[in-house]
Amino acid sequence: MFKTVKSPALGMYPYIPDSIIPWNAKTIQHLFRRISFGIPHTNVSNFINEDPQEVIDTILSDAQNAPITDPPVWAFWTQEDFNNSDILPYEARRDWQKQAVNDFINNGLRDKMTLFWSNHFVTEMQVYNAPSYLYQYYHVLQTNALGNFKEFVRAIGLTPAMLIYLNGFENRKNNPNENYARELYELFTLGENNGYTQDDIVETAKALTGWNTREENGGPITFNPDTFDDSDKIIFGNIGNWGYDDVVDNLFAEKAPLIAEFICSKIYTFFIGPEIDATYVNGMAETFIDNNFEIFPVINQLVKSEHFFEQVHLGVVIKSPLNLLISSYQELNFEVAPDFDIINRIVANARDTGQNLFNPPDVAGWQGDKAWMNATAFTNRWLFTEQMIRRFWNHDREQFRQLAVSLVDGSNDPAYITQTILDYILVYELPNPEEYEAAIDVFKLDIPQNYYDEGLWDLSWEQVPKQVFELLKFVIRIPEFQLK
Amino acid sequence: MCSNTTHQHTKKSEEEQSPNHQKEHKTWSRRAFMHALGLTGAGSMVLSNTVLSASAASPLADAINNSETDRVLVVVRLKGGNDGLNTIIPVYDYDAYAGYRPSIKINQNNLLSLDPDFGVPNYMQGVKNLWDDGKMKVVHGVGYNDQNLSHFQGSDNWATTDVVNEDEDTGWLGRYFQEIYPDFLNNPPEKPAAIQIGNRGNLIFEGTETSYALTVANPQQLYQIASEGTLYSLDNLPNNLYGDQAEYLRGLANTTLSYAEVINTAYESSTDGTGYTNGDLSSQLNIVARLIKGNLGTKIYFVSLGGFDTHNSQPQRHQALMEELSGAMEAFYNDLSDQGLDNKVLAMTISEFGRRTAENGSNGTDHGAASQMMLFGTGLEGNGFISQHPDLNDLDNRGNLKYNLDFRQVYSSVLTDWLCVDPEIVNVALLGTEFDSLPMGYSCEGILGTEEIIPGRSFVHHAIYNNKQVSLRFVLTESMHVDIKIYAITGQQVTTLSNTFANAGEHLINISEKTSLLPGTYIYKIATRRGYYSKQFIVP
Repeated sequence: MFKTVKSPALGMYPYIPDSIIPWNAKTIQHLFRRISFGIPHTNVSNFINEDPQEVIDTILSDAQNAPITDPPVWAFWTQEDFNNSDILPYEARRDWQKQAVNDFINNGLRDKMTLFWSNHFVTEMQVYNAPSYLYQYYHVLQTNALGNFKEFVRAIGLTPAMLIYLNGFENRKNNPNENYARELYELFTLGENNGYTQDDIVETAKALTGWNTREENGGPITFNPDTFDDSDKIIFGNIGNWGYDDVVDNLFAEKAPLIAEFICSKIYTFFIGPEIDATYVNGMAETFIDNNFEIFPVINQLVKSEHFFEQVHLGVVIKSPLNLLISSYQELNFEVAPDFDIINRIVANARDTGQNLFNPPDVAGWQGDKAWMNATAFTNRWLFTEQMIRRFWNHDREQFRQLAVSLVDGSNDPAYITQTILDYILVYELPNPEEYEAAIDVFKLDIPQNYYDEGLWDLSWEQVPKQVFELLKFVIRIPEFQLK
Repeated sequence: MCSNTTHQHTKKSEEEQSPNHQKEHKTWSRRAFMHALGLTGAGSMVLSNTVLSASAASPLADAINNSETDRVLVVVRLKGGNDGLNTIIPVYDYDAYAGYRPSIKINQNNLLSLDPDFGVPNYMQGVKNLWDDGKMKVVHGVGYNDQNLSHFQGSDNWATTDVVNEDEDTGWLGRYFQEIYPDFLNNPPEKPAAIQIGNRGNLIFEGTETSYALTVANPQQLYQIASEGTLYSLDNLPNNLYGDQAEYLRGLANTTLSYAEVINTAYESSTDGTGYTNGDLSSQLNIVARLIKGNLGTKIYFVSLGGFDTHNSQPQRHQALMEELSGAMEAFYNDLSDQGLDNKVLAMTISEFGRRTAENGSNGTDHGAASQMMLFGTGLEGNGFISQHPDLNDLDNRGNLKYNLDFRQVYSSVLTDWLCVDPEIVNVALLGTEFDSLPMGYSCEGILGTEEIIPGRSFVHHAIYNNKQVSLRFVLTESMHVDIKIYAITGQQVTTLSNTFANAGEHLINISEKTSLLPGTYIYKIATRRGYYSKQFIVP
């Protein structure tokens, strides 16, 4: 087993259900919403009688054992290879975006981490262009997602995607290019202005030179001793004729606490929410360092801790566009027509809502939280979620009835049914009774009130699928639907 | 499932022992305070299931709109750090310039002359035309002390103007709007205060509670989707982070819904200008022009063009960007001047930093420091250069140009002499740093008359500063009972300024004399049977 901190901070202790944080449907939903993209409503009951720590252990070991995605046929193709084939590069990139979304859905936590790291070690596929570079970059993210962070840093910097994107490919002896050196410290390991100087950047750039040889567009980028700056460099006060590996070793030897703090803050924000608990993050950082920068022990401790489940952390995260679309699909667990490519639609809709997978707007990545939201993003979120629900509707109306039946089982009170569906989908209750009244009104459709009053109506009525359909369209527009 | 709310409350008392409590408490009291002031939760107006209609203008917003000019500012962000040296070429020291840039220099016979000392590349004909028409000024050598070379901190600094501590999280225009729309969430102005074209909001418009800019990519689509919407109540949200997030989202949903119609009306009542290309900036400025021509009334627009981080292949990349900037800007002013609006609109470029004086080894340039700002518009009353070009032979220790003029001075000039903003508010927007005016060619003379009060139309109330004293001035259109209370910025009521029946007409109460408050920022709240009115003020 791995080491955990000797004296855990309050809240780092493993979660044990009690009257304040019971292990109920809401808690189970919270767990799956944060570590993956939600849980189908039909599956919640599978876990309710289990021991939470055992449930999480299973999830974590599934994540560790999740399969690595098979390489596509074009995984190492050069531009020339594409020219000689029927596959267009843009199709290959789009297919890989779809593959990734399938991975996010199928591989749970492991590939939720892959997504997380793609927004940490940022590259833009529009810049490096080659589909093979996208695959190779993705492969490094996926294989290191729960692995060792130091080796992750070492590997990511030599992916062709990164070498092109941050100009390492052009960083050569006598003509240094500082771009990667700066972002290695500022964005990937230390944080802005945190423990390095402009001189460190200049010297580091020299040590990273030499990765300048490529035979063909889209082909591998290799080290060339002739373009390596073969001189002494001073980085963090240490003098030597440093090269690529030395930069990484030196960085982790000199700056371990700063790296741990920076990375753990980011992990914390991703899983828990926008308000950082510094004491807790300190504890995570301690675990990270004690385990030689292994990522898994940090995630293991975090997801099992009481802190993770505290009620104040529920519903405080604004869903990313991908999260919104994937979890709407996952949680409702509805089907679309077999000839409709919903994954393709999710990729496109997320792009049009501000999250084009593997193509963030700049090297800092998506900032998340409120930065996701603005007037255009909001209207697109409404539009695309509603379109998805219409697809479900057009394919099979009865699945809407089944949702209501499985959640309320037997009631014929429209107020109770409406509130139950709303409370299932949203994290918390709505703040005002008038809002439930409005929702109930939507749900009742145009069926005369006396049918409800006299108990004539029930969930077997012909109109019920339409009633649930209308209610879902109403719910997805409620602003809190954007929260998880 | 209903029990979750209960847990939240139970949990709250336990949370009080936690180290986070202090922080949360701040948030709670701020929100509770805003509720107390009536700044949030216009219950009757924003009930769920209300069919959308554009929200009525608040009396306060009306007063502001009437007292301000009809001038417009367009901020043009050049994202990634524009290479100023290849934008405005220092002909007066060409050899030094060329020496730093053997591969990427603009050749002398490829320059269009602006004056004997400076030129632009010949692919910037549009800019050259604007210059020749007297519609352009260039501010040389703009930057700030110890300029940050990170894209992100650099951009933040230009947005927040906090170049000292670099930790401010509100923007200069956000603070400006916060001053003039203190009850924005409850009483948003009739027209969007600011519009940003694109998909991502910018820190520049961020206030303490909200962003003051509406981000719009496509006015027609916005309207189409929003026209079916309902408004959401801000009442009774829990006092915690979840409540804050829900309030933020509900507020944003409401402004989106409310503004969609007015924006679409303005957009549809005008047509595309001619001369725009399909380029990114062209398309954005075309939308801005349509909204201005359609008489929307929004005073600040924000557009941006990306791709300026030219670490490699700079000649081709920068040329494409400059062609787009140049062509888009010329088309924009031709479009506006066809409608006689070109003298009402000032455009100003910003970029997080300039680029390194010497080229790097990849036909590009690394991050630099000082660079120029460009301003466009007929209101500039002629072309010209402001400030000194940085000395190419006196670089800083990183090989970057030294700045001669603080970018905040340009902001100050634009706020004070173009938008005619009250100096006290400019002071708040720029975090208390004061700057001399610049000879830009525009001024507020003859723009603002003496303040006119239109009886029965609006309720005028504002703080007046004189001799290190502050007074509250307000004008009643009819006699009524008036209760005025003063609150600390943290939310506690400090004192009652007045609680009495007041006659129609002008009233002036010297707050400094009457209350002996300690210097600082406060908020007054005027309660009348017509409604509540609040605004921040400063005790000097």
